Amino acid sequence: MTESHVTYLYPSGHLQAVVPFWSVGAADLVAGWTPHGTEIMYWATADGQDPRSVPLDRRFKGGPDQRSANVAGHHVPSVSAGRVVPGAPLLHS
Amino acid sequence: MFRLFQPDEWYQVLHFFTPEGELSQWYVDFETPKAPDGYGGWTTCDLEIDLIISPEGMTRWKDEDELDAALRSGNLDQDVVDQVLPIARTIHSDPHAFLSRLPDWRDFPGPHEFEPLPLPPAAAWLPLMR
Repeated sequence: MTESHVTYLYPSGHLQAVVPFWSVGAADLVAGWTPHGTEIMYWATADGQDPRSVPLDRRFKGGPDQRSANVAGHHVPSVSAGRVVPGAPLLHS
Repeated sequence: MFRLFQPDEWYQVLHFFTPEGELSQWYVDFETPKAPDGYGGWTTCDLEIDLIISPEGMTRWKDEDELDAALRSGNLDQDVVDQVLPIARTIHSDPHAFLSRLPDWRDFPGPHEFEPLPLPPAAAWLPLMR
């Protein structure tokens, strides 16, 4: 069991997110567990808001270069009933 | 949250569990093949669209609107999306076949001995902040 992470980059090379996990797999298959309370990173708007708070027609406007380079640290909340607790700026909610 | 992926595949499969340890859904996150980052981790590019598969094998697309917006704005290249969509549609059309090929980790609902993790060393991600 080793520490690992996945880093999400936009096509421009800008950082989107970093999510750590315990690597529990082997060989060519990566299996990872991200425990509750793990610190993750996700890009934020200039005023620190979840980017999904920006309407879609403006979220991608002008391309990633127009985005803030701000990145906020967060903690993985409890994952329950197949959803991430609202407010968690994870990729998958 | 539990994840499974083969680095050369165009997706990873997230597993969500209930507090009781039951699998609540598979979440197929479509993204580019993963590359080692030199710091014990992997880099990839999220392709916006996702597919949710229930334990019963029911499927539901997610974030198609984000994919459309990313394409319209030029944030994603059509060529890249054209590579992943056939894969996504194949999984969507027969989720049971897809799941039958997936290693079964449903009995892995996050053992309590796994401590929360910090972010990886700044050297792994700081140069990417620009």
